[in-house]
Amino acid sequence: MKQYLKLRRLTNSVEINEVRRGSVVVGIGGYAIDKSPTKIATWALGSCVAIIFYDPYTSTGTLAHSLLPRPLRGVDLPTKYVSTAIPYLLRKFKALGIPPRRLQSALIGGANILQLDNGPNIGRSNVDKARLLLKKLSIPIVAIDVGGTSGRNVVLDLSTGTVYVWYTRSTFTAFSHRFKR
Amino acid sequence: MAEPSQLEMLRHFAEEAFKKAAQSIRTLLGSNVKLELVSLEILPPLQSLETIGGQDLTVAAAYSAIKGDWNGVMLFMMPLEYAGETISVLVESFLEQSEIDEELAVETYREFANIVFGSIATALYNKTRTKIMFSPPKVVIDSIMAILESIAIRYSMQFDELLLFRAKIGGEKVRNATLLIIPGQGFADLFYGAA
Repeated sequence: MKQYLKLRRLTNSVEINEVRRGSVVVGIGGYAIDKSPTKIATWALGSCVAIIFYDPYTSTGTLAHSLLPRPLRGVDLPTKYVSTAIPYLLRKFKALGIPPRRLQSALIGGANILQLDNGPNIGRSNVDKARLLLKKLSIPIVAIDVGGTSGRNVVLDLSTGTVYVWYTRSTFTAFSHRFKR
Repeated sequence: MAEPSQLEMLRHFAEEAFKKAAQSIRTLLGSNVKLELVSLEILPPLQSLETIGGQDLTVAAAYSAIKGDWNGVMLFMMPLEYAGETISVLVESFLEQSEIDEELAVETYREFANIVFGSIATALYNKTRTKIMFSPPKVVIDSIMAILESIAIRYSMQFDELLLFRAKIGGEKVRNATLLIIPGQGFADLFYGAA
């Protein structure tokens, strides 16, 4: 049965532990591409953005953890930058015989955690760059959870096309029994 | 690239600044506080994430921007559970109350960091004779990696390498705390880059 990409936010720790179990974890600037029933995950996205592509016909998907909108000097890792990650991942799909028109995409992350007064909002720049490129390529963004001030964790379950997201921001009162709730 | 003698001088600055911070914490908490580690590292910005580590750890972080003759960031972090304990001690000592809500917890942590950062800024001024000010601390509770990533990426846009002054502070009432000073623009020119 064909599965489509969809977003699901998690808050329950039992569910989170179940979802994250057995995932292939992508590090900062890295990526993974695989087929169902693999789960691909990345943790603690701050201003970085997770770029996700999914082919509903073959349940093949990828997740890249990109740091910056574009390279400032040389390109060390193609998936480290949004501008190089997207064409690079599409080439990987092409090599598997999957054309871009079959793909759905998701964007997760791009937060402004520290809200420092000076300097650019890198999270927003990452998201803007990804949106622009995907629009040019006519690849629909069907699941999106971006911006805000909280870090995010993501798991892409290729068997169902579900993008699980949970926030890493917490509070003192949520954590300590000594504090008023 | 810094010469060994310049690095030694910077390390001395850091030690003095962190000693003053530890003294402030000791005074505030009225208990023994140990400076467990002081390090000075020059490394690619993103490598700092691996160096500090603790991917899954949720921390209470207070941070301030340094501005003046040189720019930078100061960061004080504790695992959330330990930060809660420290806040309880501070509130009980200074306000003589045991009930704490979120707003009071955040304000207490912010003020705590403000005093610690003030000690550091004063020590750095005395040692380096550079004029610096720091912004009022902000508090964020999030994954340590998400917080550090935000800083490291910002630095990676400007520098190939960053200088990381790092201290670990421990004690009965302040467990597993990390203090970071990450100088940015102007610092290298003043202390080693122009050499």
